[in-house]
Amino acid sequence: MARLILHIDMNSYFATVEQQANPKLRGKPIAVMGSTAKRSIIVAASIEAKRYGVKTATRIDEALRLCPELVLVNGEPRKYSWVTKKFIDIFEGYTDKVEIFSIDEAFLDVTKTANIYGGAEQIALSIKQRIRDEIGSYISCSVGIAKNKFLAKTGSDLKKPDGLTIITDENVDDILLSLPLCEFCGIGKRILARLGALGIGTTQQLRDYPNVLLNREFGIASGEKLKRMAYGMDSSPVISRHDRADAKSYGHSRTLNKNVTDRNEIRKHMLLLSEKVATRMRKDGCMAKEVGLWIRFGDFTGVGQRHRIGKWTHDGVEVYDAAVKILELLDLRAPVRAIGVYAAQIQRDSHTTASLLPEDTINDKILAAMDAVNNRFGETVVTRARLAGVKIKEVVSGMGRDKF
Amino acid sequence: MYTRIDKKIKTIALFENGKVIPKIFRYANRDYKVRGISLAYQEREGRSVNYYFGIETDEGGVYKLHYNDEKLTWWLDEVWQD
Repeated sequence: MARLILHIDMNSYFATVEQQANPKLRGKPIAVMGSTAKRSIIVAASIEAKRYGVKTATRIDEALRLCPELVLVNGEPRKYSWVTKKFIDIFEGYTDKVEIFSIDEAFLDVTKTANIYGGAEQIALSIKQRIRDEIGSYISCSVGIAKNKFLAKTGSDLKKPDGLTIITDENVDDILLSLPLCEFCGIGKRILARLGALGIGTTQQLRDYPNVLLNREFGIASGEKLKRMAYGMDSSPVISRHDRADAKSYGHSRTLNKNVTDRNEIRKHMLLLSEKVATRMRKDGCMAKEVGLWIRFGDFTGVGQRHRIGKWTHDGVEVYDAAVKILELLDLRAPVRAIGVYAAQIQRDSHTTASLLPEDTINDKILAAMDAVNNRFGETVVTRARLAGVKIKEVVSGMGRDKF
Repeated sequence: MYTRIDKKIKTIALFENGKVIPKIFRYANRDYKVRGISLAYQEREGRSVNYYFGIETDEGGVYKLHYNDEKLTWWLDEVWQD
């Protein structure tokens, strides 16, 4: 039985949510900023702003040069999180197989439920209507329907905003053969350049290129994946959040308001990031045995390392201490623009061996008490004394956390 | 652009079927009648919940209000100024 997959992509998501919240912004070129700092970038541009060439990751000064009448709006992560939760609730009304691909995209496998709702197309139309009715009339999404995730995603990208594209066995070749390879999900600039170096510039050329030579260039797994993409083949399942394996890492990062050379200043940010990483691990009941640190310089080059630590931890200070050891090994050859701390080699608390050392058990009790207070009164009510008076602002991009 | 206000305000609201709907609020000695709620969202803060509202008023203004269910208090967060 052929699968029925929907890919739903919220159009110009953060910007549209802001236009929904404030009717005076509708029809205007607006851009959501990650922060108010001059160095900040555009996190999302409205459909109107995109017409001027303003897009995600455009620097604010560049965006204003492209579109002097651009309205800049401070991003508000809690608002987007709430709207995301609302539309996921809507999606899960049609199937339990909903894979959240990013904050504004999801795959739905409706193979087993489409008949109940009159077919996949009816589900798509019904979802569009419910988003308008239950979240806001200005919020729209583009939907792709196909037999697999790759084609469904390809379909949703074809018509924006508010599109609905169905890719079938009858039209799949027409669509794929006319699509530039850069539009394929999974083919980025680097792969495109490597394909170009092989003389592959079109889908047909990718189809015709000998498998052996493709595998030699990209390795067997990636080579075969590229070949399957050229034919619109993809067997990857839709994995719902309920089925997803535990996180493989926890990370937080931030771009600093100005480039920094002072290591004490860098360490202060690292402590904040380490605390956030550890708090999330404790919330999920997880511990880590590896800590990583990456530093990005003003020229966008960077350095980073990861180190195994001798014990399982979910303590922000232990994460921080490990990150500081890494920092001492790094060559900070230029002023630092951004910092990221992450914990990897994750294991459930229940699968780790608890320490019997008194200092560890006392520390665990302190952390548990801290978490209890913060859960009751708010996230940062109790913090380390070293962090008193220091705050990390909400970051819009990636909802305040980075994936590693 | 939005201007931060961050002031407690008096509000008449309807609490119905688990929903809270602001109807009239008073700011700077003037009453504003809510014409429509453009977006409602909420955020948990510890054990309490803040309910946020993007609001259009009869006089054509756009405001952002929030209500805290533990403090039973309404706040005017921001006013949009053209």
